[in-house]
Amino acid sequence: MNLPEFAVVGHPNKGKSSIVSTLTRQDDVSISEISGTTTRSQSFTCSVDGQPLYHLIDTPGFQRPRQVLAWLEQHADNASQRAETVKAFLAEQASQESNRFQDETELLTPVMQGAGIIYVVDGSLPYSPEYEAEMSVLQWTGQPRMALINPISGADYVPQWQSALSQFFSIVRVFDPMSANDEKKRAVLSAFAELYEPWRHQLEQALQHLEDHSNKLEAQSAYLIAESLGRILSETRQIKVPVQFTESLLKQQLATQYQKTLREHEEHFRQQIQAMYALTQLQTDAGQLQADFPDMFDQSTWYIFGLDRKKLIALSAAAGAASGAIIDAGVGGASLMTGALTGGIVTGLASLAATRKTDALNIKGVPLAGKMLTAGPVKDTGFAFVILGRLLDFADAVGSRNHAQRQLLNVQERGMTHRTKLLSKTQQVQLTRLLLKGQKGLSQKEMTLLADLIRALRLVDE
Amino acid sequence: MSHLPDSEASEFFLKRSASFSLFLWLSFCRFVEQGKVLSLNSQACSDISSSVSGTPTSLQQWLTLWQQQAFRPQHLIRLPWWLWGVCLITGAVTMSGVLAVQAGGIINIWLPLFLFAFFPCLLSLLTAVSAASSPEKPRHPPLGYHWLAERYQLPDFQPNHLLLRPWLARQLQQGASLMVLGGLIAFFVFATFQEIRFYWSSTFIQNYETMAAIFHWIALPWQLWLEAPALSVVEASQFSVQPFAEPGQTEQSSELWSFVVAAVLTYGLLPRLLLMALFNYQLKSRLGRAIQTSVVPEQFLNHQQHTVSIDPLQQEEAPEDQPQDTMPVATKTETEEKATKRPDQQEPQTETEIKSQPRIQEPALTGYQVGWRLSETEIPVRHNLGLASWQADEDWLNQLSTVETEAIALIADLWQIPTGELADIAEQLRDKGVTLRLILINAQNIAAERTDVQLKTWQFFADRHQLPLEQSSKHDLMASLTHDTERSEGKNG
Ligand SMILES: Nc1nc2c(ncn2[C@@H]2O[C@H](COP(=O)(O)OP(=O)(O)OP(=O)(O)O)[C@@H](O)[C@H]2O)c(=O)[nH]1
Ligand SMILES: [Mg+2]
Repeated sequence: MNLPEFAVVGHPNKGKSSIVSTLTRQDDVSISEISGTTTRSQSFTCSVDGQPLYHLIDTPGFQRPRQVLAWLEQHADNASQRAETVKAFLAEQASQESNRFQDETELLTPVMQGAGIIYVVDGSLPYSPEYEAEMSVLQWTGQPRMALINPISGADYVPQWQSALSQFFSIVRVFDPMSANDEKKRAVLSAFAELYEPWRHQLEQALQHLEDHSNKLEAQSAYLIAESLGRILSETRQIKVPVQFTESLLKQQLATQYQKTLREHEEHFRQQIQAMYALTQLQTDAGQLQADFPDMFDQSTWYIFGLDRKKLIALSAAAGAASGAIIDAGVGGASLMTGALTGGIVTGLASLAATRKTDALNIKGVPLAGKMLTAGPVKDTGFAFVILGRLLDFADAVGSRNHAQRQLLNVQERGMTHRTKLLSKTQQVQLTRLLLKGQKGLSQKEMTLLADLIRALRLVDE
Repeated sequence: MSHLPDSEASEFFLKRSASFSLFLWLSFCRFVEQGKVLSLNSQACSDISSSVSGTPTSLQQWLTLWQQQAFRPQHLIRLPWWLWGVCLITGAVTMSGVLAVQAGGIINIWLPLFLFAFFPCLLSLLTAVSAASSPEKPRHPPLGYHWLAERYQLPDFQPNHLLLRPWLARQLQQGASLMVLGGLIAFFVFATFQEIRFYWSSTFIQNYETMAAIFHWIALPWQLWLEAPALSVVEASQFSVQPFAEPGQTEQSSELWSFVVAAVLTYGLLPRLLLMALFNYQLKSRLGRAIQTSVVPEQFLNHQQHTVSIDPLQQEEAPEDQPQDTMPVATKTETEEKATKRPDQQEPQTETEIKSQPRIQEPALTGYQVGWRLSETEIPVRHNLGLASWQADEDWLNQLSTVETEAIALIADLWQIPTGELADIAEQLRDKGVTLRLILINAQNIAAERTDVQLKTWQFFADRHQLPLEQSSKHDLMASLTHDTERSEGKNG
């Protein structure tokens, strides 16, 4: 069975392409403020999980409706042949070389091939009789048709339009493709379902699919936030400070590198979110992460012979090679076991060796011992909340964006204070605990819990 | 608790063995990350899609298409065969070493038992305990991972650690099992060509009955299939008692080999195999979860089904046969294929070109005024076009005497959208030799930014049809028009 298919038609520049874009979740439909943007009919498909649900055809606006109507009236023998006459009109245009009625041909062709009609008008401008020619032509096609009033810059004339349109269209609805939320999109789709009985079932199923899909996206984006958050919170970066080196110089360098990595994580997250909401063309004003990390360097360990502490412990434990050196360093045999177990002894040894014999540890100018600087994870709950807030703000802004919108996405800062009110007291404590734990990395279970909490923190417009 | 959506995607990826599933998934993730687009020619789609258009109609079909086009056997990472060979040989060599310890072929039974049964069993236990209690937290990759990763294009450890850890653990178990297997093979080879006799000795246990009891306990797991060494056998194989003088006892002591083999199988091999199964299961369940929570399938679909809008500007330059791999044609169906352009309508220029503020002059009202779809009846124009039928407009145009109207000002409401019909009228008037001007009045009070947009649209229209464009407020226009009309009426009268 064929999928439901609707041609979105109307006067030029009334938001036809915008409606197609929003209702098919395709952000590549040409939309511009200049009239006559769309010059060819093009079908766009709304799919969920790879399954096509319905097609919307973006069409050019009527340019010469009165002339078309005149042609039709001249060529129709009687009222019962109206649809035939429209077909005859299309056939004649197709046979001609230069087609004055190209816009009309483009928009009427899909309709005569069986598409339903969605007629779009602007509810912020008054109705005037000039629209009657367009509506009459559409009536001639005999196809099921409905009208959408798009309140482009206000709803002042909506009632006026409603009464005018009801003479030509069985269904009239108000729909704003720029600001419609999910609920309004569903409402307008159920109006489509009423339009033509054979398509009703498919459209009702489509509605169900869309609803399931938006729930799925919500769940998955929560996981994405949780994962990205975990990645940022547990990020560490290390750098070796040779003994002769000034530490402060390298600290600066490490701090810059560290911040850069965090930004990359965030940027990656943003791309992922955009790609999952099918908004890859999107430009946003979301700024880069700027932060001071007060306690970034509270970890520093010694390394020796180009090995870090971990490897040293592993090596000495395995081979027992260190024992001689330990005795040499004056550490008693009794403390050997406990020391090796905690690993502290090796660090101590390394620092001892490094400080005691710096000269001896050089081989051809290559320093072999020194301090290991580790940046991160940032052990600050405030920092964790800020990052979570940033990720949520971005996901909310992208998630509620309609595909027709083309301007820069303004990422609103909602702040975590407002969001945390959505959680119960217990949940707030749980969240804080998870954020603190996040520096060490979260287990799968904790990740699931975090994703659940994050889902509750999402704010959806309207 | 949030429930996860049941995932079509995890169904697809988990069809086969755990290892295959893992690398199928990782290869898929890489494909999506690279942003490549599948080819949708009819050949490619015919076997997977039942739809008329030939494009896939479900996630399963899309994924199948991906697997056909982008998944290569080399994406399936297998550790090299020689690594397994090394494991096998290590086991065999160790066992040979053990068996060759004493030239006479008399071997302390505890040595092979320890090396091939109890020690591996202990390691397996430790592995099981650490697998059960191990945090799933990201840690450093295990020793040697970098080396493997470099040689066999393994993915980064950190982001995939949840999946890679069970996979690696499974490989490790496989290696360990092969070692035990190698030992067993070596044992059988030795036993075929040489008599192997096991003995036991102990400092503390002199009583062979106690030792028999110990053997009995060890043999508990397999006692249904194979009996534990009999008392007499244990007695005969005690080293200190009788160094194998009598032939009958020799026979008995060599009976111990089945006990050793059974112990190796039960304590050395079986736990390894169980662990392999465990890690397989762990990998599959984690993979299933990762796929369900992943946004990658959604990104994949969005990318593949993205419809590129027909760009009127590019349309003319690039003919239809654009390369398939650069342009997703998934859902694009042009309803009309003809590429002929109307001569009178060029495409909007690029936005920047139009963005410049409209060059609109103040009108100087002279001559003959005609309205275009004016809804304001107070504006006294000679004729208001565009509202009645097209025939009526044409009739009026035909009767127009060009002598008295060499210049006409077309007055239109800024809020109208200029259409082809207005262009037609302008053209017909110009054909008659009339000089035309467009005057816009702003009759509605609507947001200022929309006024600018409307002006741009009109400016664009005026430029395209070479019409001078002027703007006036309704008030000014009314005043000058009334004055103008009075004057001309006075002249007539
Ligand atoms: N604020 C607002 N602007 C809208 C709305 N709908 C459309 N627009 C704007 O109106 C302009 C025209 O929109 P399009 O969707 O291109 O209109 P169209 O009917 O396809 O135009 P043509 O293809 O030229 O016939 C664009 O600048 C849109 O941003 C709306 O609901 N609200
Ligand atoms: Mg358009």
